Amino acid sequence: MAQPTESGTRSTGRQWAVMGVALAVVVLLVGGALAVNTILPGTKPVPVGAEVVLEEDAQRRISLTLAEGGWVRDFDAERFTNEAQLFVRGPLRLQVVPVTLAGGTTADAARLWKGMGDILRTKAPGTRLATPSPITSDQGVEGLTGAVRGGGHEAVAVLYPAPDGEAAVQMLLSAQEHSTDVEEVLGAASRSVVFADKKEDA
Amino acid sequence: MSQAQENPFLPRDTVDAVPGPRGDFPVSTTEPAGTEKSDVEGRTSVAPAAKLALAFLCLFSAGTLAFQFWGQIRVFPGVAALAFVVCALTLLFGYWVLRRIRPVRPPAASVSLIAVAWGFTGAAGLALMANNELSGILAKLDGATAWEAALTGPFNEELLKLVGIVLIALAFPRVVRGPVDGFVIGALAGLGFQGVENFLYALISVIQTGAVNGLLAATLSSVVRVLVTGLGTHWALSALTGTAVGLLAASGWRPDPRRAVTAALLVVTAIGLHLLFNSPLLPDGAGILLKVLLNFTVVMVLYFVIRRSYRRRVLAALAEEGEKVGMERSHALALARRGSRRKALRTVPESGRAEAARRQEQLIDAVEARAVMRSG
Repeated sequence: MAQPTESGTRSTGRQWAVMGVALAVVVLLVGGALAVNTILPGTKPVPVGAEVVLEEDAQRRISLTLAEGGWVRDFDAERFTNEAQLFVRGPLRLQVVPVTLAGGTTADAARLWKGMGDILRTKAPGTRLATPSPITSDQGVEGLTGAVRGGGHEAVAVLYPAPDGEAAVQMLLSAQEHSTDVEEVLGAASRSVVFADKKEDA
Repeated sequence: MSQAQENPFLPRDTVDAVPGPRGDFPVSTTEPAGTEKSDVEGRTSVAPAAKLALAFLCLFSAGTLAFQFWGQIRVFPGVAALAFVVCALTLLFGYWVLRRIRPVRPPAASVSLIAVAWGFTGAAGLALMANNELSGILAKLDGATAWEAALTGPFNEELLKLVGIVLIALAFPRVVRGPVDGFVIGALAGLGFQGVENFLYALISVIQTGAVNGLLAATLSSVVRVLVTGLGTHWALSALTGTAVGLLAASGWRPDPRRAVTAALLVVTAIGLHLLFNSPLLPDGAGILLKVLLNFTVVMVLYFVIRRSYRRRVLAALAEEGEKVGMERSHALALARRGSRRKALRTVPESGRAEAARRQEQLIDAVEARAVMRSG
């Protein structure tokens, strides 16, 4: 039987050490980040009347104002959404997602409403958007609103296409308690959506 | 003596055992590349544990990715099918090219596939989790949103791809023996990562564009990521870190200061190039193209430097080994090229061709082992 040599044992020891370092890197990057993220406060209060920027690029700026007090941004819950900003006030949960259409194409509100329904189904297969009714923002933008069926909680969706049709804002307000009037709350928040066209401003 | 042995391009006899890479015990040249030798009895080899770690991390990460993206695949099957086809074609082409560029002969197919699988599952799934958590931390700390991609992906993705390349080098020490091996295995791991990233970005693009025209969104995403930025992204960056792993493996994981600094610089360069690529600097089309060309140029310069060095050592070893088995020097040197080896085999009658090919492989095994020894 071959006997291990001293140099061979050292070599194997080094290989085990290298493997230990490699696995420690995995633990550090994944577990370490998870631990730090868990330790840091997961919510941040939104000042009353503060303008929340949903998207800003060279083309446009989309914002929303939460005029009523008590809203907090929930960073921890945002991890489980489709790149949404998530705000919570008591039993209410407001999810806002800006979208920009592919390749400079445009779409009307009805097509965007169907797309929003498809996106909601990626997270919960039984979710359906009811036939929408019109809604108008304080800026005068015509959008659609309707109930969300099958999501488990009472929920309302609102969608505003940007005036140029190349972007939109999707909003979803749900309530943990059935007594909460979600439509009234969402109406106030959603009507504050503002689209600023930077091309025109320039 | 068979007719095969009379061919001047073919060795007449097998060579004796030749030393393996530093830190390993001597290995027989009769063993095909791609299989690691077990350690001397009485010591626990790290290779099985490294294979186990690779398998566990790949399965765990694949499960994570499937869980996270199954909903999008279910609702947008047409987009998923398109993205899958583009992904498969990219992987096939990349796999062929990257294995082909290794001097002398390609790495073992089994290990090449494991490298791609690591990038496709292990590295990608772990990076997704790490990036999500780091993005969450930055958001909570009011980190600059425009720099989020630059401050997360480069560190998590380059290091996690590197972890897999290190595990592969430990699991298959006969395959990753030096910088050239590390370059190719690293590039293959990066290719796998790039493939799954392209697939997932195509799905994500549907969500980001409101699911109005999913096929258009996925097509645009795939075209940009394959044809425009594909030349200088993950495969290239992981080729740099893979070369670093190859340098360390060649020294038996006990590098001298010069080698250690070179390896560290390669990893830092990969992270730095990735950071620049993800940064909001030079955001327009020309800027992005410039970043892609920078990455490609850096990795090509590295490739030609290590290729030249390796080929020089291989030719020297071929001359020596050829002399041992009675081959003419010019004929021995010609065996460094795949074409010349194939040409030599074609001159052998079919009945002796398998035996001739086996002896040719043995000679190349010996030559490459000797070339690795010279790399110190």
